Amino acid sequence: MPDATPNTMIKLVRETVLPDLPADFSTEADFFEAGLDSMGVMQLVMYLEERFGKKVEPTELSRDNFRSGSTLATLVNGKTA
Amino acid sequence: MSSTAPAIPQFPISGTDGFVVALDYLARSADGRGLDALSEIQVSGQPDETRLRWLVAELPRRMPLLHATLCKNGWFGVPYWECSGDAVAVPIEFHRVSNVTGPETSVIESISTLRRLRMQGRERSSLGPPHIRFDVVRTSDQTWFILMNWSHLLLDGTGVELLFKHMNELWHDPQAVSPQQPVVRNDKPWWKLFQESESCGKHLMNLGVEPFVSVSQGKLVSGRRCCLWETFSKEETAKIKLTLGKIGGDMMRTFFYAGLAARCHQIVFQSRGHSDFSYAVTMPVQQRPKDGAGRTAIFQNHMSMFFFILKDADLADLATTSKVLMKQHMEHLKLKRHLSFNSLQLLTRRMPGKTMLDMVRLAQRGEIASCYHAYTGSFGEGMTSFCGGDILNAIHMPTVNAPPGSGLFVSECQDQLTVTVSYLDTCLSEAETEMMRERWRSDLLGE
Repeated sequence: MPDATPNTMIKLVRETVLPDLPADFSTEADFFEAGLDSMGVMQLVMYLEERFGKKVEPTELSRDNFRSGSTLATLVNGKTA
Repeated sequence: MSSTAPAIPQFPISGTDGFVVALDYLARSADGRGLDALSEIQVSGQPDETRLRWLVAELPRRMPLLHATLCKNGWFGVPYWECSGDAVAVPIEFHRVSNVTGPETSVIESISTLRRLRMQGRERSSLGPPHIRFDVVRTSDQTWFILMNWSHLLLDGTGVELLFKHMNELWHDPQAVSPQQPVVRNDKPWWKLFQESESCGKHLMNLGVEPFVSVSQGKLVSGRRCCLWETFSKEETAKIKLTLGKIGGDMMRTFFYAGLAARCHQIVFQSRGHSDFSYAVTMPVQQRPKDGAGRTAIFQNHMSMFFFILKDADLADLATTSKVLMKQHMEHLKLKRHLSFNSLQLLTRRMPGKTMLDMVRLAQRGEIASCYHAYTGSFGEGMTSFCGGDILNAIHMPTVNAPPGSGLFVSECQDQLTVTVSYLDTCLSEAETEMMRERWRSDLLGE
């Protein structure tokens, strides 16, 4: 499994749901302001399980957890399946 | 004051529009009236009639689709909007309720009376303008309403919110540039679309293997279009968020409310003596294109759709239902059924409405779904004022056709949640809608 760092999370989001994410998108910048929506979040849930083995629980499906590269990395590293 | 947009001689419909055209046909064939809906905003202060008239007159000058007619060449041609001639005015009327003084000459008993009238839509002999109309109602010395009647052929609920938002932008800045409707290109040959449609097509055929129910029991019926809705106070809405928070995070709301729609219908079927049935619930997901300047498209329907099938056991409580829906949703995503559905829509938009519906109903044993459902999120995201006043509340009142004959819709405005059931009075009784209301209160507030 690759390391779940804030930058790898940004890379994942860019590759899967937000292809137009700027190259200098910071690890604290808000994915929702950049266009992430609930459909995109559900796609990310799928990719987090596929690529990082992280099974996201319903209670973890919050805006706060999916807000930025940093928060996503914390989510994945906090409770890796 | 206007920045007149160039006329669009021919503008193809989107994939989603194709299905809406079929549903509009279904509505018209039942009672001659199209699939029209009503949306309203309650505003503080007093309406400014002169400026509102200017604003509404400005819209068709800037947005040619507002005075376009839906046309089609040949049996399998892609339907298109044709804009010709001068802008056709958008109707606007001003009223006041009988116990309020004001300059308006039209006096109505109550806003509910007007809502009931407008909910019925208009008889259509052509698919031309007007596609929207407005009513402004002074309801007290401190409040007024704006009601927009709109045809689903040209707009969806999110588009209506964007139009209201743009109207407010023009109110503050008459020179503001209006979004240009982007054409959704499709260069794929039909056989490619056919291949891509396979996954979704198979899924839809499988839905009909075990018969599911709707309140119209698969019959094509007409009836009076009705709505029952409840807006929860800010305190109640906060309590609802706490209740739902125990089941899952805030990104699961779309599953909570789709689950609520199914559970509210389940109680009606149970009261009719049915049990052990399947329920087919739809969940639309927005996918709006943007124009060249990055502004989101206002017009046309832009959705992909997920179809879920639920058994009685899946509907034991809201937590169970939401989790089953989420599991099915993940399965759909893995199989890329949303993309397959987009291809299916592009493929079938050429079909005459009747043919498309005949095919769907044949596969689903007369039905389309157990109910309609949509969660539109926060009304006009970020919008707090409208044309000079603060927004107090805003809701959509969609209309439905039969089958299925009913739908449950959820939206939010200024931290107030609204749940709406739309139905035909020939499909659901008032007592049954009250039953639904009791269930949503019980599920959301734990009462």
